[in-house]
Amino acid sequence: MPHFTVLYFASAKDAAKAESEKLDWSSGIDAAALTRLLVQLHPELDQVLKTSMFAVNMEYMDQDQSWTVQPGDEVAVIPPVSGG
Amino acid sequence: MKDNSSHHAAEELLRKVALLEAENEALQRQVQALRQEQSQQAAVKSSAAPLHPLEKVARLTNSEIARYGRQLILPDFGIHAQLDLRNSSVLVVGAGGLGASCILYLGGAGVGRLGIVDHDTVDTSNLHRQVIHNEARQGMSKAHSAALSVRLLNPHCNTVVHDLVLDSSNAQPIIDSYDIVVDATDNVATRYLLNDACVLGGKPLVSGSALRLDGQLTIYNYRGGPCYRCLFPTPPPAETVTNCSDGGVLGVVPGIVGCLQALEAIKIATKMNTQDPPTMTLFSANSTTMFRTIKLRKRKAECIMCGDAPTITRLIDYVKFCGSSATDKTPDLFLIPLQERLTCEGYKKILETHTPHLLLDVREKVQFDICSLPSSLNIPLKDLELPESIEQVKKRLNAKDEPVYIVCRRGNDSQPAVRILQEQGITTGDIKDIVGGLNLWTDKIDPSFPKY
Ligand SMILES: [Zn+2]
Repeated sequence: MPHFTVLYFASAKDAAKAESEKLDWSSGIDAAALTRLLVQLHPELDQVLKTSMFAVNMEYMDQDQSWTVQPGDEVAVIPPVSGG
Repeated sequence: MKDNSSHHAAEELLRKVALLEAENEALQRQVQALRQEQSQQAAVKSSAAPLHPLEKVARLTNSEIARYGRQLILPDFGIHAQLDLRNSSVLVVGAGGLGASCILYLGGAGVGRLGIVDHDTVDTSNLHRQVIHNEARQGMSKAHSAALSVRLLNPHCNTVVHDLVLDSSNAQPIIDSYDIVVDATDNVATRYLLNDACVLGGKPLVSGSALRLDGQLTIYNYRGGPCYRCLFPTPPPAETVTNCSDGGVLGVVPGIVGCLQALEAIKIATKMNTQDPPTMTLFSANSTTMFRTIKLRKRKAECIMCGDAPTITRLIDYVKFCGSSATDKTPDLFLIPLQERLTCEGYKKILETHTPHLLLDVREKVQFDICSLPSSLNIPLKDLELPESIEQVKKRLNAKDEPVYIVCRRGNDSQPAVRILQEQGITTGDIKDIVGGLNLWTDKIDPSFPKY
């Protein structure tokens, strides 16, 4: 079964209670499907994902652009950090 | 034999004298440093905008050459970069954890003019990360204190103090009078304000942030790269934003991000990075990969701020837009009417009269471990709705009508906790929370109770 990896940063790490995890890959996981999948796995991510950005293999991905997760991809969930 | 021992004693005395002399000299130096600090303090004055433009120079003085020698002999830096730095002005917004290291390194490196914006005062509970200030300056304006530290480090750097809260009424002229802006703030509203003002003023924005063990660094609005709104068009809801005071922060983490911000500002000023594509650097202190670099796209054509047809053409009300204030102070929550809550004095009476009750402390365990009131039960707010938590509370009640009192750090989290227990119908007695929480308990009832 092919996989892909999700990396969680800052508040996403707290919500998912994990720094990263391996998920089963299937075809057609776009930004919206990925969001649904992650919220299903970690309901606490719901709020965080509304203001986070995605990066795939260390490259920024537009939420409204057409892209789908490929096997072996590393998807990063990056919420803004505002503290200082 | 006698001769030998008196000789020995004399030697010992001489050694002690030498030690005392050295100690005396060190103390003299300290006195001199403090005197110098005092005189510099008097010299640091707030400057109201508009600023006169920074006077550019064609060459460095001999004392500047002596001071910056280690940078001047760097093949990738040299006299030209040093001159560029000397002829540029940088505005650092925030003299806190990020600003502490950023301001010191920019001042030390030889930036010509360094503006510092902050309206807060020095507080010992922040000195673990705000190492540009010190114990003796408690209560002093942070902008003044930071400028003073720079002047003591490098009198060649022209520091400008902006002791004010930056908002849409005053930000633009200040930002317009600098070449580079560094976002070292601690709140969402000021981050959007700085972004918009930098887009409108055409200034690169070196943005850094830090919380707990994580940090972020991005240069916005620079060489066709994105602005903050391109990446984060929607501000996070106020209740989901964690500040350093509630979330905690390891002091060195903002220090590291602040150093990176100083580096990026220097690279922009000296044109070292003109070939670099826009990136976001993520710092995770306790991850095996501490640094990750995300490649960013160009600015978004449809961005409402920096896009092809921007709809924001002047500064807006950022406190309203973000639904949170332009500070990182935790606001008081008013979920439950005051008359339905318990005061610290009221709870003190309950303790004194030995009235049977359960005291529930809804802080995180890590905070409960610092200090707690006797015989309190600790269940963090986020776990309170779990069936096993409700069971745990029920088990601790000795009677069906035993009152439950709820306490937290500031009297905010205790309010939703009251609502949860009321919904569960956990007791027929009172369910009340303590106004002001343990912080106010220290202030009003027991000064020996730790406050953090
Ligand atoms: Zn933009």
